Amino acid sequence: MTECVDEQRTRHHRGQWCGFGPVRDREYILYAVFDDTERNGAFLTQKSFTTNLIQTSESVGRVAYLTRRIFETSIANGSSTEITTALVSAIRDLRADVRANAAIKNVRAVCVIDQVDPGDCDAHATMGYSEAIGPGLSQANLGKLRARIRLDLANTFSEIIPSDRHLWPRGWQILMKRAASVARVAFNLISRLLCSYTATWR
Amino acid sequence: MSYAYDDDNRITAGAGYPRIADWSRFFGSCSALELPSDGAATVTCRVADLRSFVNPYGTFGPVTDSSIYGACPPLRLIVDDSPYGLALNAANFYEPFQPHPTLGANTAATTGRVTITSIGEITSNTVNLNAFEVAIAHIDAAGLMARHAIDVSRPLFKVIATERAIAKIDMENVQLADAAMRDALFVVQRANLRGDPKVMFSSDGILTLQWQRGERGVALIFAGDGMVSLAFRQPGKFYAENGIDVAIAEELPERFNTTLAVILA
Repeated sequence: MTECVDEQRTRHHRGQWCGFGPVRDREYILYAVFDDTERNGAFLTQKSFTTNLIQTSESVGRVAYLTRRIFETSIANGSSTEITTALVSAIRDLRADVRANAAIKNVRAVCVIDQVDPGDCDAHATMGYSEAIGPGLSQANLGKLRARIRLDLANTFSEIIPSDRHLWPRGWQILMKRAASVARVAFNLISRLLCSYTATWR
Repeated sequence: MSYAYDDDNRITAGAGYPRIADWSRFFGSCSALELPSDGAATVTCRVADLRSFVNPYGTFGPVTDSSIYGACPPLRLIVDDSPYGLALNAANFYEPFQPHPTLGANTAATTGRVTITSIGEITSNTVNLNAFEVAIAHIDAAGLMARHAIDVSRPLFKVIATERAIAKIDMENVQLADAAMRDALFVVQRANLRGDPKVMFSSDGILTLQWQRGERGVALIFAGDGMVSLAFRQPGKFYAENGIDVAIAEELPERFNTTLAVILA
């Protein structure tokens, strides 16, 4: 089974020309820790995450594209919120053994996708269980496997810190990255056109 | 058949049930321990006593009156007729501590090992539990029940019970969570687990006990199916790809014990 296919393309509701493109491995993502978020001291726990993981709709922010103002207005919604971050590649490296029909498959555990729905900021992304987690498992075994994955997921995140201790990018930096993203889409489009033209010409 | 008891309700005389002392410890300060001739044991506890080792009930008022109900001897029920203020959510009761819905009636809910009799009333969302009694049924000469005795005075038991009481469990998964807790209590007691694990119920009723220090960790995961899933974390290996399933009736594998010893060292 192909895993995390949605990671390969942008899922921005206004299309590929908007937002910042697919989430890259070297990026960091940010998880907002609210007052009612479960935690173990200064770290996340298995219980910190919600059932949104099942639908790959657990909201995270893309650190490189998230200004403090946008975080406070569109994510924290004015409440005092702490944050924790994780390297995307560390999350994508998480693996799980899926036992089904006497066979064991080692599969990707968690996907991180560039999912921006109406109302979300452009730096919004989501994470959730890989499509490979589930098929062929009983409800009890699925619940236990998901619990183990959440243990691993919690371990990929850094210490929880107050949001004002985070080094937020400036607005002009975001603008430059936005321009770079547009240029990247344009470059890819031109590359594909050239390839197509070359193939036709030959 | 009669037995003598010491100040701690432990049997000091009487043959045939030598391990009943385990149950006596289980019920701590309960007021009486009776062994009828059919081999069933009955323990009568005041609500206030139960509160001391079953945290989920933490909001009971003081016991102000007691009486003996004649309808079902030798059951003795002590009534908590304090001004209630009890608004216990039924979802927070775990089996076998299920309150009976009819006020003033003696009815037993049997799990096969422990019989619970309760008197109370239930509304659409809340339960006023006036009294209940815990009876231990069918102790055999081999001490089968004693092996399954649960010493609720253990701190880890209290943590698990408390976590269960406050956990937000989806209504359709409440029974699963209760079963998961029972499995966990059984394993914790039998394996004499130590340490201070993180105890977590997820909304789907799955219970996880996690011991972790640095890069090493071990977790027991219960789904109420009679199996415990052991997961290990070590450098380069994740919990989700490093686990085994064991029936709760079986001994935990040696690897678990050695890993836990390293973590707790």
